[in-house]
Amino acid sequence: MNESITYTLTELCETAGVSERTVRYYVTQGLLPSPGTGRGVRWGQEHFERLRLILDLKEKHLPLAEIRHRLEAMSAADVSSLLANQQAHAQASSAADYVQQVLAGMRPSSAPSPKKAARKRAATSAPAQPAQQVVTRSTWERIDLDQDVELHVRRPLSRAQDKRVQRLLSAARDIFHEEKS
Amino acid sequence: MKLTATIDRRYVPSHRSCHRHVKVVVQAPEAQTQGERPPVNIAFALDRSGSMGGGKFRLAQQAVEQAIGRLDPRDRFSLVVFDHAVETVFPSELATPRARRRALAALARFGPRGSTNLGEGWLSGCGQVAAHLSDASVGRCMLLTDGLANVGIIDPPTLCHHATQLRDRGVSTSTFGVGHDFDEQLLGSMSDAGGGAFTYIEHAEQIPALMDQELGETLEVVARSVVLEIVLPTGVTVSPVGPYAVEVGDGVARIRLPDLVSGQLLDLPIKFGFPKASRGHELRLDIRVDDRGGVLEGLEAAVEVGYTDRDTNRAQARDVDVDRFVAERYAARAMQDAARLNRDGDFRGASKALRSVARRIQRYAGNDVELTQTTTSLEHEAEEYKVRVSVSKRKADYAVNQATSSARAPSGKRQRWSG
Repeated sequence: MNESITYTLTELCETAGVSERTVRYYVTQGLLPSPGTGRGVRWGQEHFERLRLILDLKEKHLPLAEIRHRLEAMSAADVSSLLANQQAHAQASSAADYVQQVLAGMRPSSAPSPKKAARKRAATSAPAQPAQQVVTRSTWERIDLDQDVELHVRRPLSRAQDKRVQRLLSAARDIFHEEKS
Repeated sequence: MKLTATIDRRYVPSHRSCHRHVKVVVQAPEAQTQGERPPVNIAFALDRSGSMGGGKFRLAQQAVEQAIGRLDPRDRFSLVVFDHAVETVFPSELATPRARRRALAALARFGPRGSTNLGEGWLSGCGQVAAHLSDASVGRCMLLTDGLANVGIIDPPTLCHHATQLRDRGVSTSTFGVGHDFDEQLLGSMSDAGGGAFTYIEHAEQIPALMDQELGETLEVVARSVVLEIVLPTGVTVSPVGPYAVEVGDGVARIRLPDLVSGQLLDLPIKFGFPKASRGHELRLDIRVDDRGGVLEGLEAAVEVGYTDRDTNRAQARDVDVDRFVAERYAARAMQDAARLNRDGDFRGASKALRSVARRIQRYAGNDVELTQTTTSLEHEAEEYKVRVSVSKRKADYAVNQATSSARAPSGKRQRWSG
């Protein structure tokens, strides 16, 4: 971890994209360690990474009590490692990736000629039409769980499957972290 | 900024399971200054199919001109048009004066033609937003169409699934249906799933004003990815009345709410199921709100419920304000169902859906004038829905009641507790 990077409260909030009020709230709730008091107090990289992790976990709608419970058991290195892992996964399932996957799947079978489509439109008064057969392209995602241990996931997954995978990843990380600690 | 929760009745019977309704009200904070708003990242996905002729597409172009004129260089925008094919007229850029001029010049080269690949047009708009999405910005795709999705992805549940997935990833969807030929159920469901708003535009001349209304509210968003969290005691079930998805896990129910605008009042009824328990037993439902930026951090409310004997349960007072509120939302949902069934030719089913809710409300209406008016109105509508209603009535009824179900005014505007 780069301990030389420090932030004022304003810088920390701007970088993480949260309000100062929120950061103070997390300190009072025991989620973030206090950086000390007095003028010119600086927040370190560890604060920043913990804050990012809190925000990531909040995105998954974990209650603050649960987030605090998880963070209590984590060292600064654990936070860094988990954050990196989560960010890698978040990128893989971003909105841009999602749209790309859906569009890639539908293009091969879309766009009949305008005349044909117009005839079809004129012939159908009710909008409840059968779903078009969509040929989806899939990709394998490789997720590192630990040294020499990987999880392979074929995407896109249904929402329910994706949630199960998230739970699986969370449990797997707990197991590997337990082994190390 | 406030969170309140009020239950219709304080006690539940100990000898049998039962349900109660809770009115939850979230009051979003007011943005103090214009400069405080988060930047927006908007895509306009415009239908340019042949039916958009006769001035509609020109008015949509005018609406876009008006809309992007309200953005400032912190914001991003993009333009996509679709008929049977999809064209990105203007890829996402910061809304500088030069970019706005170039975008309008590019859009002016397009006119109406072809059929409607709504799915791909909308997804391409979302893709433009997604390509430049940041944690700090409000991502939204505004889809305007006057027709049915008849090319590409046309299955409503599939489109709604994508809308939910994109909303979860930071891109919400607002929809605008123009005229009489679009599918209001599809556009309404897409906006519900996508966390935005649905607007019915009966006359093309209203396009600029109504798109401007929705854009104006998008510019006022103060809280994003809002979730209501309820700690559920063992055996208690939860079911929101309205277009809100709920997930339950680890003893906590999480209800996803739409983005909240400055000073917005969002009220929703939640139905809770309570199991049998011994007399004197007390339960507490702890409720809090969470959002991406922590703007609503610290808002909490609680509801206490006591188990009692049969007679005390029957004799207890009801909160009439909650009863009226809950009745209004069930009535709105019944009207949406009736509009769908009537469209599909199931007139008997449409009428039955309305009468069934009227009867349920009548059971607890007593002498209350407002509740009685609600049941009378539903009975009246049940008569009308016994035969095919006009397209404009059906669409207007659906739009008004979809707005009511989503805690918006009949005009589609968000309700405000301030100003």
